Amino acid sequence: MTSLFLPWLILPAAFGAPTAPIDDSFFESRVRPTLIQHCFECHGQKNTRGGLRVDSREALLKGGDSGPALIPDKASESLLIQAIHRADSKRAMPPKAPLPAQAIDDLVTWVNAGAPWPAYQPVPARKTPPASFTNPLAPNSQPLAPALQIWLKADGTPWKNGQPIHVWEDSSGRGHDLVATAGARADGTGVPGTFVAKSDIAGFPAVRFGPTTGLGGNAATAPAILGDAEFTLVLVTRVRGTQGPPDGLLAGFGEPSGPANPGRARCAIIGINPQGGGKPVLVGGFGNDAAPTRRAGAPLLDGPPVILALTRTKGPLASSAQFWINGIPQGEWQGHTAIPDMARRPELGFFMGHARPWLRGFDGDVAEVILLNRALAAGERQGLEAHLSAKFRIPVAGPFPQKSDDKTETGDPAFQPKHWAFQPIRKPPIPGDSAGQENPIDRFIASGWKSKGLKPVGQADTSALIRRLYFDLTGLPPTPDEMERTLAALTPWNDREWSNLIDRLLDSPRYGERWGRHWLDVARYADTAGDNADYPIPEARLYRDYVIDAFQRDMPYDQFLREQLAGDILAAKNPAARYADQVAATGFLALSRRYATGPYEFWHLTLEDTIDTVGQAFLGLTLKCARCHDHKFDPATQNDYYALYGIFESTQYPWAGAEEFQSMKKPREHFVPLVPPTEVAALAAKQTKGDKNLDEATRRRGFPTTVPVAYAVQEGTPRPAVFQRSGEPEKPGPVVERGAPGFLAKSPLQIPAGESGRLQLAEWLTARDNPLTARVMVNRIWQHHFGKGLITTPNNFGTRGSAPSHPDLLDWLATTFQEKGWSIKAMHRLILTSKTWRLASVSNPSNTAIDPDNTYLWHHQRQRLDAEAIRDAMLAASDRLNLNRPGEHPFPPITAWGYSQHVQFKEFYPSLQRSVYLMTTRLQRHPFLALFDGPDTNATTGIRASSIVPAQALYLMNSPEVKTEAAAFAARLLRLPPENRARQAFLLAWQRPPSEDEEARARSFIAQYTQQADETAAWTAFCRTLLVSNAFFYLD
Amino acid sequence: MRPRIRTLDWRQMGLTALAAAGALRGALANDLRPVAPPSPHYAPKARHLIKVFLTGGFSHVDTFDPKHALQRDKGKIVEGFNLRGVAQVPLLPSPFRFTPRGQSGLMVSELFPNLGSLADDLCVIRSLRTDIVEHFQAALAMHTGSATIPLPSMGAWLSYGLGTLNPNLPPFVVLCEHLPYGGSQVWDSNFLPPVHQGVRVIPGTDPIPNLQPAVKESSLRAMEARLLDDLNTRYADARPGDLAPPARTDSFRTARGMMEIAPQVLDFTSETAQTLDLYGVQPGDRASFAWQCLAARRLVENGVRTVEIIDSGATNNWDAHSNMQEHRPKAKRVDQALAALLVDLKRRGMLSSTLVAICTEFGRTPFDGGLGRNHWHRAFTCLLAGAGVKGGITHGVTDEYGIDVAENPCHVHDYHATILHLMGLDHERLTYRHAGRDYRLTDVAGNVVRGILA
Repeated sequence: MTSLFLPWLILPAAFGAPTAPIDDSFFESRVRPTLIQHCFECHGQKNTRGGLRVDSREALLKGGDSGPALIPDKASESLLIQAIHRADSKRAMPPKAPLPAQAIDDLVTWVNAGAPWPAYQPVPARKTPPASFTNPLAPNSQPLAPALQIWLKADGTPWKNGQPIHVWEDSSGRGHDLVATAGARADGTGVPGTFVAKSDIAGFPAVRFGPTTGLGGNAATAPAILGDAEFTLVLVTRVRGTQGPPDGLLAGFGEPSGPANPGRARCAIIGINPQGGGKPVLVGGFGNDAAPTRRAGAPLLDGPPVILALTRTKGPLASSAQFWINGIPQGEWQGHTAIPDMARRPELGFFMGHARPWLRGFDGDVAEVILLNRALAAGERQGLEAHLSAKFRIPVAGPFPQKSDDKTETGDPAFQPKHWAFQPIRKPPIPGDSAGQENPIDRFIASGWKSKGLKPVGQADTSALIRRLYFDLTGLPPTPDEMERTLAALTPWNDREWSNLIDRLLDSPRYGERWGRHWLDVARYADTAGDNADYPIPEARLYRDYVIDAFQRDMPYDQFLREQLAGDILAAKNPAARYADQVAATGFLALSRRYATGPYEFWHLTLEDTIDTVGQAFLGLTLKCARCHDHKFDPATQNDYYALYGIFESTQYPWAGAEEFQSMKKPREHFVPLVPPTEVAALAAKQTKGDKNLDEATRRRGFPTTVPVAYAVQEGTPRPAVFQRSGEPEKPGPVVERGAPGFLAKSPLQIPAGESGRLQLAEWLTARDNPLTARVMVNRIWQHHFGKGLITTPNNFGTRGSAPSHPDLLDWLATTFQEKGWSIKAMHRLILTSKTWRLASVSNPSNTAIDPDNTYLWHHQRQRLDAEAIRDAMLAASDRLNLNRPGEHPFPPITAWGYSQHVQFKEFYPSLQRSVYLMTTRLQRHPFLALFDGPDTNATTGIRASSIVPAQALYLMNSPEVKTEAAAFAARLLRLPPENRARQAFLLAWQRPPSEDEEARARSFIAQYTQQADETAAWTAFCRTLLVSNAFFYLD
Repeated sequence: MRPRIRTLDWRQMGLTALAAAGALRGALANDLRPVAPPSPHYAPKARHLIKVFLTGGFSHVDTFDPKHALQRDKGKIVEGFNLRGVAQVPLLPSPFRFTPRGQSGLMVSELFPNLGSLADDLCVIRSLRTDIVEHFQAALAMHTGSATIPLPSMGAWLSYGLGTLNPNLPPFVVLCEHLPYGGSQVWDSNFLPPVHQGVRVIPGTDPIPNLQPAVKESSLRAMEARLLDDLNTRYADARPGDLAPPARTDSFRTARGMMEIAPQVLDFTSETAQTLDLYGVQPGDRASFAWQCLAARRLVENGVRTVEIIDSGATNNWDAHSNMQEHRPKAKRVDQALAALLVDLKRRGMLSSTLVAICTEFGRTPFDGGLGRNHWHRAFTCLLAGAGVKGGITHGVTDEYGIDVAENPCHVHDYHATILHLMGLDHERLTYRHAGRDYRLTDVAGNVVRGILA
């Protein structure tokens, strides 16, 4: 959508030379701030010195005790200006010091320009949202480091898998190492824990404990947390089970009896009560009194890895201890118990598991332990949890939006799910009565006319209609024969014949090529990868052909969507049916833009392209805005972005090559065979052995040449995404669960273990109650029939997109679309049989005055042919069009590829086939397609421009390509008897016979031209003129 | 002798009344307005921009930013980086001598003897910084403000903001023998209307595509033109109220104007032998860098708003990884003509209304294990000269080795903001609504470098 250029106001200044332009933003940025800063205090709401207020135009005009302060256009006569010029010392303003010179100039300019003061109120600033994430804090970072007493971590150690851990060194630097213990042996020997390189904690290194494993310190290594001291204890652990009752113990620490507590030892222990459902308990206390401990917390046994946090603040133990699991509070603790025999166990330090005979062990992995000698404030604890969450990929709760009912996260009522596009799709009643208007579309449109007092023009001329329909559905004109027959059948007008014609064209293979191309715009299709060298992707065409074929066979749109997002998953579930097609369909994702020189470099940008394209194509939402911050206008949050990000990060994309393909000899990666995995080996075996060329091709290709592959995606390693602060991968925040955007998804996606979530996302998108998917697609269909959609911003249904011109019609169409099984052809039939579509494109001054943009469709929008139709129609006229679908593009063999950013791939292959089959690249626009407003192959294109630039005229008049077509067109005519040539020329170029006038003009031109040159040249010139003229380029 | 220009006033297209009625909409509005007067935000210093892009990254410490400490501490190991990451690398002094030039005493290396003589006209910004140190991304950033995702080129923004002064020529012309890194994306109009696109001129026999007529004889051409106009006008007249057909009819007339004008602009027969000598244009030369510089002057003279000359391409350029002596032939190729361009603009009184920007995508490392230098983004040098810019000055200071900027950093966004400012545009106000938000050349950054403004 292009914006109208704002006219600048240019007005003279009284104080000398003409001023620069001035507008609302001049006032807001140069005048208002001055008034606020220097004048409001005394001349505003609080104080009204001299009876003058300056906080509105009215007030200035009214003035104060000295009279009006402001005379628009006349700065020299305005008291305000005189005062700030300080000519009269009694009236010099501001009283203490003069305004800066620039401010004075600005005020003069402003007054001389009429003192415009915008009538609107500036949009109230959005309420500052709560921080959407917490700064992650590592244990040894400020402000935690001074309080850090014990820091045990399993990663970064030189241990080997399966190695018993006799000493777990303390990384805090304070020497509170743990040693293996069993029983109360002072020498520290006992059953050690085992190091596992890939533990149950998401595959991270950890120390594995068993029921008899214990690690502990001793009095010498006890942390200095004594008496009623505060502390915070955090563990990253996965507990499989505990030894039976009483409680199995995770970790604890204590203080021997000593001068502060003679005869009494004290300790605090986290244990797990298997009988209490495996919930964590706080056992022990700072004292010897026994009292039942209230059990609290979520079960820990056999669950996922967790981040446990325990905080004790000063006060009696029971009321001041709190416990969190993954940042979710588990409640407070009441009561405390004592451990018998503690008086006789002075050598306690920090311990874990079965460190003493009377301490029960547990069965599980521990990756990290952190003990601090004060109770962390909520923000700090959350920061530590966020750090661990990012490190171990365990989602934690925190002060960032988590769930779908967190809709007003910004608190601003201005944008909220009240937006029309987020409301459920209704089926509104069809307005008006059906007399004379059987097609519901006509009734909706007619009610629009009525409301505006518009009188629609009549039906278009039949031959114009036929031409329009052919181009609409097939992108090609009717041949003279077809035009003649169809015209005869439709004269007089005959609805049934019109329907038959529509059906015939929908069945023609030209239809899929035309409407598939519209989708390829949205899918940002190209035959290259877009990296620094723009590597070719010979297999990309499989996706293109998939799209064309899907439209051709009227594949239900919901299926089309699901296959493009998750075709590989569907194919794996059901390999017998259309395996190759479904795999190739995921080219939609694979074709995401690539960057730089190595495999998967700047990967966060490629995933941004995926999210951007998925968002705009299917939902009409600019979700990529939420990569770096919450969307400023729509309810999408950064959390929503990373929820989607995780789905695509869990997906394996292919790599088609980039500079390192050549420089580092890195072969292509992760292309997907078009046959199920079980059949790949058989095909691979068919390759001739010992052929060096084939071997090298195999190496570069990633598969033997006998295995057909697609540029498609497959399942990768499923995992949630790590939030990226400000969209930067080097600034990780907490982990975010995978899911659909919270403001639209009523419940979280249920992603099965081991899957990325693409299928669930696709199912959510195509669910009956999704308010956007159907609306967005019917709007696209409408747009390509009428030249613009009911929403003129087809890729943006958000709050900054345009509003629907006919909301009821849109919803009715969307519902009907779903009811008809998401059949696109059904929608074509519905629209093309309407009277509205068949309106003439004539203008009408009274209607133009009411509705100049034709929003209410009182006539049909005359459109220019798009780039593909121009080229195809020229080739049809010259009879050189090859209607066969081509095979592979003539790329150089893969063994010859050596492209880099220094030597980019930049070929264009001539062809006589339909334009949809042209080879297009990402870094260079195809010269013809670019000239006639082809799509941007780097980003999804919802609607193309339709420009008129002299460069187009130059091409049409002078290019050898057009000359070739004109010459062939002329040759075709020259084979006819002379008296038929002019007529046939018009029929072939403009699909109508010439008028008498036109035929005479043609004859005289040919005669004159032939005189000066020759017949061939004359007809070539004539044909070229027909091909480049308005009548060829525009569709009535 | 100036070629006769047939000006085409957009008002003659009879659109004003309909425009007022709000009928001017959509793409039409943007395409018919190359000569419509979008105004600058404030009085511009420069009405034209000539940008010279030296591809590959010329080394700042070998050209305009002498670092004696490199010689003094030659071989000292610093923490630098090589192609594969952080490394310990020795300092490498410059093999080129620097001398003070002009009255100002600006230090220029021996690589630019001729350009150095114009020292008093040059503003050398030594504190340029960019974000990504790879050619493609850095070249894209220097042209479009965006290092990764393609966005409109600065030339397209200037056309959008200011229009052109001659409807018979494109508003943004790019003289480009070999495609640079990033290909044609660096001059693309992207989401701005297509009329603001850079038009590539390939120096050689057929510089502007499709300018050569299909039919040699002018009388035959005229016949065909008349027929086309007739048919087009008839079509348009039969469809009153639709603005597009008459506009399209007119675009053919404009194109014919271009066919007349453009070859004349690129034909140097009216230039004196002295001028050709000054630049170093040989007889029969239609492609050298010297030819390109003279062509740039003529294009600007004929009303083209922005002309860019891209020196060398994605290979065989200033990317001197192996040996700094590789800069010699590159400098030799451009030095005389660049100086000649400035002299020529000055003596024709054009320098006061033309801004000349000589830039590159990044600098080169002051350290290296060999005799060349690697890419360096944390400090490099670009130049400005002409309208509104002080001459004979440097701006910004790098540290003693030229590794980091020590004072007055000038990020690429700042460089762009300054150029826009000199052309009369406020970089924060020159915006375009696309995909739901307002975009601008400087993203959300950029500060005008006021210290260099005259």
